Amino acid sequence: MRADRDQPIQLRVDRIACSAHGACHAIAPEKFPLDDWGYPVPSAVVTDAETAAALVRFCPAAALRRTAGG
Amino acid sequence: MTELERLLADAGLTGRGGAAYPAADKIAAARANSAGLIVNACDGELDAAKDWFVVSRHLDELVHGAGLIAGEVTYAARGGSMSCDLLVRAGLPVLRVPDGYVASEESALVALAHGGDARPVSRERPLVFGGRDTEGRKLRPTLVMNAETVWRISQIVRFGPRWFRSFGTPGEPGPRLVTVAGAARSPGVLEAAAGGPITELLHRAVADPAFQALSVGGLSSGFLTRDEAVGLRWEDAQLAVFGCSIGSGVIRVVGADECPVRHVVQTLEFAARQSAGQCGPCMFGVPAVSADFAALAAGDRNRATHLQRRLTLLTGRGACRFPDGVARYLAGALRTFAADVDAHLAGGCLVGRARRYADAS
Repeated sequence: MRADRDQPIQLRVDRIACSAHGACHAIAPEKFPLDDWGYPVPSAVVTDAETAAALVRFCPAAALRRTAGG
Repeated sequence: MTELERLLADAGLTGRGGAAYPAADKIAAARANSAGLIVNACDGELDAAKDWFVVSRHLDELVHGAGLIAGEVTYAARGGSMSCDLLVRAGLPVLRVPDGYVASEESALVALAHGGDARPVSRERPLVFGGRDTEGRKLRPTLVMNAETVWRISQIVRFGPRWFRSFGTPGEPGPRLVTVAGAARSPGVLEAAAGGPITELLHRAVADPAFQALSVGGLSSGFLTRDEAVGLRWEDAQLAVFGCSIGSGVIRVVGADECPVRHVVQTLEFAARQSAGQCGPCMFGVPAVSADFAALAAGDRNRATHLQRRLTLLTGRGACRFPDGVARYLAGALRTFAADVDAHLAGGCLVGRARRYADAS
């Protein structure tokens, strides 16, 4: 199935892979507030396709994944 | 649905390791995926001893139950424990599990069984469907079941669902084991059921009659004050009112002459060393809230807001539920021992022979 450009996409944070680089916060600060130790607070976020692609691509730990349904 | 699954569904058996998931559903998923079985006999919860009870007294039934579930069975026990020795002597395949609270967590056992470290793995769906460990190694479909649950399956097959349902309540049927620890003259494992008075369990264990509180479910549940516990029945609906659950069936009695604040400080110091060091919110968050609580106990009032905020940063933010459990435990302690914490903030202690915590933190 072809991904619709405007279709919202859900991303999940792999908590084991995440190592607090903060790239997600830099790209989408309102979606990814950081906790006291630099880790993103939410475990899953919904965003537009373009932002989602950037988030997945620029996470240095490859900790952001599209969820199965998203 | 197979005959076994129908029997277990009729009996209403739920997992006795803590999560209380319907056993029939788990087994149906395991069989659909040709999953292997790991029998968890690690007694992973603080003070738990019921897995040892099952292994030492009902090994034949345990092996019988396991054989009904899967063709390939492994028995997980702490390396060097009495359970481990007994299982090895019986000639059974044993998975030796290292120390550490999360090492006996379901996904950690599956990773260990596949040659990895005994550390939890990230998963999008239960490992009964298979998955991958942190190094990308393939994990075959595996069902993990608590030893008591497997033993109950053997009993249900032999004695029937009607026998099983003659114990407990319609919502939480069947006999179930309870471990009583702490301030009791006859601590240990009791054969009990849901629905009975908690005071009866305490009486059977000859608990300190002047106890201050009960820690229920170790590091994954909460506390009951003495007033709350008296008159309460051992069932989830009643326990839930106070943020507790039957869980893996552990009750630790906080005695009359024991400072509950000190007990919580020590338990949290233990918890702070138990993170597998994988997920940031757990690796940093659990030691942080432990230090915050120790500071409160030592009279540092400024840490209260810190602690309240950080408590919200633990839940749902790990690959396993360890940080969630610690958050529940600590929230329960703050609720139950508010007056004790206030006394500590004022430099004293409600329990005689007040101890100072400045040197403990």
